[in-house]
Amino acid sequence: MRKGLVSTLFVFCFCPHLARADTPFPANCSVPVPDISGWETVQTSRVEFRISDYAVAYLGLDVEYAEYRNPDDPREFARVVSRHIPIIPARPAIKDRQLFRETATALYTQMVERNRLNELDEKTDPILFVRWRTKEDSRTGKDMKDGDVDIWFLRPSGECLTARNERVGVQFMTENVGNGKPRNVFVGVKYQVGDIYHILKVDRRDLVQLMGEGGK
Amino acid sequence: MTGYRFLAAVVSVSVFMGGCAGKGINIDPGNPVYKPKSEFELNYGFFITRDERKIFDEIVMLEEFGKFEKHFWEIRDTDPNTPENEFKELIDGRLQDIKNEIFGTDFDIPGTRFDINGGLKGDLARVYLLWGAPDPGNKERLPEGTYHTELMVWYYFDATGRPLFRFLFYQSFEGRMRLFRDHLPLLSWDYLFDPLSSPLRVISNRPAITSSEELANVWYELERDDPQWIFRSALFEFSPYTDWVMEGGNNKNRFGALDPPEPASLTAEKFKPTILGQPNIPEGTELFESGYHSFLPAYLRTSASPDNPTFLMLTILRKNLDWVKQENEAKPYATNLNIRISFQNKKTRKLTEFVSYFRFELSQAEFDKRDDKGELFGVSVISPLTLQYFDGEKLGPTLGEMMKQLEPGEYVVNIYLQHTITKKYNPWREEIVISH
Repeated sequence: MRKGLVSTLFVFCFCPHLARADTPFPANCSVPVPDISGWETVQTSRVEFRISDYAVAYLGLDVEYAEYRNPDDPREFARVVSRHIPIIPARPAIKDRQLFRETATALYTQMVERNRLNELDEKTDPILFVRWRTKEDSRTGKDMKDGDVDIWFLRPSGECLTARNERVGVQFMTENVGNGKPRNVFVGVKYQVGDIYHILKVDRRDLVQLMGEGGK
Repeated sequence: MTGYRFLAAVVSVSVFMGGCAGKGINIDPGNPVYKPKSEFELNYGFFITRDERKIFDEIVMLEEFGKFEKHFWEIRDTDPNTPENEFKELIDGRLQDIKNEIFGTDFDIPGTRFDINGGLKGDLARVYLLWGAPDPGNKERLPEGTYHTELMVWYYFDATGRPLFRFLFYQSFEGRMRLFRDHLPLLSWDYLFDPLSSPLRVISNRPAITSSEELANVWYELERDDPQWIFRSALFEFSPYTDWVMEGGNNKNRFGALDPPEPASLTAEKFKPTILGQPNIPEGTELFESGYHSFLPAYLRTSASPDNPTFLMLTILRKNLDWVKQENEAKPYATNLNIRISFQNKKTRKLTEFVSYFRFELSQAEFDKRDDKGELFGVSVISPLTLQYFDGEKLGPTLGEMMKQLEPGEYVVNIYLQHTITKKYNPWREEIVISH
């Protein structure tokens, strides 16, 4: 695998089936998560990173909702990060130099991936819920944050953490796969609120298997 | 065209016409399927694979043809993610190009026409339909000389810039540009000037070559007219890649450039992606899942030192585990978890990995009380220090023993807890100091 090809991506998709906002959150939060049923999806991206030319790891979904119930005040927003079983679709390399075969195979792979991801989208666990409001800055005319930012976060233990105006850290994680050599690859994403973190990560054995298949 | 050529043309056209009698769509022209089937054959005949041909030739009803045509295009759609069939659009575009005689005003090969070269069933159309137009500058014509016939080459390059194919066309005696197929297997003067086997016979404008001298005349004229070996390269080699032939590939390790292309969906099936990380739940498994879809919550305790038995202790609420029903009266429920713990020395970067597996089993009473908040019934505890290394094949030392071998220092510890079949998981990353 070429190091230079390792990159992180957030690919935006607009999936109609995600345009629902009935995502559950652990019921044990001291402050209940706001009911966002009926909210509409502003945008959806996947939590993913590229492992090689032939493989991308998908870890979860990052969904931003906006409230449209009150047309006079569409200023309340919520962001939900959810996780699913991490998968790594790996496309085999075609070595017959027929570009159209490679292209067609890539597109069919895309379909298989999309179908599998659509299935996973139905089976996600929310781990982070952030709510905020905006108001118009009278000087610039642009939107600015208005008031507190409320956070609900799923601890690794399954308990709920609630916080207000804390920074939500997002950090890509690497691990060494060089067997003694300094070769690190992306393995996951770490979300952090205060000292508490929640990691989304691929199974290292899948990664090692992928690396073993010709260093793709 | 020379006098020889005209005579030969008359003879060959007669033979051609005679040979064609009774061929084509072998059904009654009054049959409603005759016209669409004939048109399909004319336009897309080069794309019908051998297996499809057997079916196509047997079609005598319009309904059968409709089904065949629908399936034919469905499996060729190069992008199943869109409602359009990109492959059909591509080929129909090329058909339109042929009808529009796009090479008539082409900068590289002006005056080249499909209609006088066999139309949709000619060699030019066949290459064009299968491969499209070569990029500008990659096709050239060489006018007829004293000894050689008119020639034309179409070069196709791969992504590395190396020629993938060199299609060489020559003007045959019936006046039509035909594809040169008699490539010399090796560059040998003996073969080149052998009147029986030389490829130069095909591109000579004499109807019969009987001597090496005549072949030498063709060659020397080519040397003069083709100093850059553009045409002569195509005479010797169709493709520098040994897995490419002009026709007669097997779609596995030998590919025929003029063979009907393998439908995209069949290629994709052969090269289908591997999706790593998928749950692996055996059929018939009776599974009692936790409320989570991907999460396996657990409390991790990292306090104290490796000598402390509670170091890296994991506590899991049983209600948060997926349980599988098993054939065991005393313990009818089981869950299997993989655990991987790696230690990376922050200074030396040395990685030490520990993997193991463990299994919890519950009686019916324990299972029924798995939601209890009480410590005794609702909780399962893992103490990895006492677990033995097991990677699925070989056993090794316990984690405690392994950790005693670690050099003192600061370590990044990665822990990955995963249900073996549902793949629900929980990772941690902690930093610890080991000082024996």
